[in-house]
Amino acid sequence: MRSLQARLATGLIVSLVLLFLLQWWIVSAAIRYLTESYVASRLQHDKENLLAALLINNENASASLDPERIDPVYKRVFSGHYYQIRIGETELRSRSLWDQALSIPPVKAGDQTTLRAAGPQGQALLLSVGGFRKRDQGVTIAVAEDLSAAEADFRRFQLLYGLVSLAALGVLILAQRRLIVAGLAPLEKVRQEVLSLERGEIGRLREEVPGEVQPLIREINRLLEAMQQRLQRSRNAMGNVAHALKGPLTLLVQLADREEMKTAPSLRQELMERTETIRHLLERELKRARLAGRAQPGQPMALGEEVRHLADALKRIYHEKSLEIACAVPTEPVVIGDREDMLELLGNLLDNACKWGRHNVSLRLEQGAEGVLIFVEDDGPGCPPEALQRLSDRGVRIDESTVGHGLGLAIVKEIVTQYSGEIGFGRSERLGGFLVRVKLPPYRHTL
Amino acid sequence: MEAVALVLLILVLFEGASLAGGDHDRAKKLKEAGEIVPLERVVETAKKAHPGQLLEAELDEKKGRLVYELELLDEEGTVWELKYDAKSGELLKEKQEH
Repeated sequence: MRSLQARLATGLIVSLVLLFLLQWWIVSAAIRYLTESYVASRLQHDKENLLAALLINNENASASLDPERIDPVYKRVFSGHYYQIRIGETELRSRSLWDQALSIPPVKAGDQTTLRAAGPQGQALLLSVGGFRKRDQGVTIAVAEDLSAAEADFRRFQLLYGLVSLAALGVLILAQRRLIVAGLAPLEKVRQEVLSLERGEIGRLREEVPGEVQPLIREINRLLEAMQQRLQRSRNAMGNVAHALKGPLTLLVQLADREEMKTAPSLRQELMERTETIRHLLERELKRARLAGRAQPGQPMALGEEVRHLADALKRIYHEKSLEIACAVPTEPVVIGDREDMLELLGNLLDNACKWGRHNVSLRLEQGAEGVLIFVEDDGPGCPPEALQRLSDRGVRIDESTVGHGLGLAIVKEIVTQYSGEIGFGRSERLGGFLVRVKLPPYRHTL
Repeated sequence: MEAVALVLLILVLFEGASLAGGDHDRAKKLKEAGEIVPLERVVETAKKAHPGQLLEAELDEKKGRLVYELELLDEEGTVWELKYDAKSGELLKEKQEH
C-alpha cells in the first residue's frame, strides 16, 4: 500500500498543476480578449468616421471620401491601418492598402462582424466590417488594424507569465512537501514508540497523539492490557489447580503409607511412583503455563540486584555446604525477556549448580549485539560424556531421561526453546565440574 | 506588341487619373494587368538590403518609365530613399535622405 505521504503529495501536486494551468489559460484569454476588444472599439470609431466622411452623389452614381476627414495613417503604404468601402460596384480602398485588397464578407445593413484576416506583408489583421445605408445606398465599410506587434507582446507576456507561474508552483510544491512531512511527524513518533514497545523499553504507548490515530493507540493499549490480564488469569488458574490437587496428592501418599498397604509392597511402590509422577507433571505444567504466551513486553531488568537475591536465597537453602557463588553480571539494565522467565531460567541453572557443586559456583552473563550469553559452572562431579550427548539431543525430555538432573534443566531447556535460543552442556575448565552455556538472541517481542 | 502595351498603359494611366483615385488605384490596376511587379515584392528586396520598416511608397513616371520610390527606415534609424524599376523590380538608385 502506498504511503500516506506519497498519496498526499501526488494529489496536491496534480491539483496544483491543474490550478496553475487553468489560471494561466484564463489570464491569457482575458488579456487577449481585452486587447482585441480595445482594438475593435477603435475600429468601430474609425468606421463611423469613414461613414461620416463618405460623400455619395446619386446623380452620377459616384462616391468619394472627404480627404480632410481621413486619418493620415490610412495614406501611408502598408501602415497597418486599412479601410475598404463598397458602395454597389464602386470600391474605395485606403491608400495604405496600395495594390492589394481586403476580402470582405457580405454584411447586411445594421450588422457588424469582426474577424481575423491576413494583410500585406504577412500582417495579422483584426478586420471589422459593418453594413450601413447612406443616401439610399447600401454601404459596406471594412476597417482593419495590424495586430502583429500586439500579438508579439502578448506572446512575450504569456511566456513571462508562464515562467513566473512555474516558479510559484515550484515554491508551493516545496512548501507543501514540508507541510506534509510536518503533518505526518506524529505518525513517525508513534512508529518509534511501537518499536520501543517491541524492544520492551516501554509498557504501553503514549496516548498524546493526534485525534486521527488516538483510537488506534487506545485499542493497542487495551489489547496489551487484556493480553496481560488473560495471561495472569491462566497462571492463576494453573496455580489454583496445583493447589487444589496438592491435598488429594498428600492423601494418596498417606494412603500408600497405611498399614494395610504393607501387605502388598509392590502395589504400594507403584502407587507411590504414580503419585510422584503426577506431582512432577503438575509442577512441570505449572511452570510451562508461566512460559506460555509471553504477552508482557520484555522490560529492562536490573539483573545485578535480582541475581544477588537469587544467590542469597540459594546460599540459605544449601547452607550446610558453605558455597561461594561468584556472579559476573552487567551493571546496566539488560533486556532479555519476561522477568519471571529470566529469573526462572537463572534460578534453575544456579539451583542445579548449587545442588552438584562442592564449594564454588559461578554465573557469568554477557550482553552483546548478538544477544545474551549465560555461563553457569560448578566444581561438582560433572556429567559423563554419554549423558552430555543425551542432554544435548533435541526433544529429549531431560527430566524423564536423565536421573539426577531433575525438573530444573527441563524448565531451562523449555525457556531457551521459547526464546529461540541455544543451550549447550559440557565440562567446566575453570572449576572442573558441570558447565551450562545458554545463548539468547536479542529480545524481540512479537504480539 | 509593344505598341499595344503602350496604348494599354496610357489608357490605364489616363483612366486612373480621371477617377481621381490616386496612385494606389493605378498601381493596383497595373499590377493586375501584369505591367508592374507587386510592391510587396519590391519592399521584400529592399528590406534584404536594409532591414527595417517601410515608411512610404510612391509610383512615379519618369521619362516614360514607371518607377517605385520607396522610403525605408533601417534599424540604425537612417532613412533610405530607394528607386526601383516598377516593371522589372531592379534597383535604379539608392541614397540616404538628407
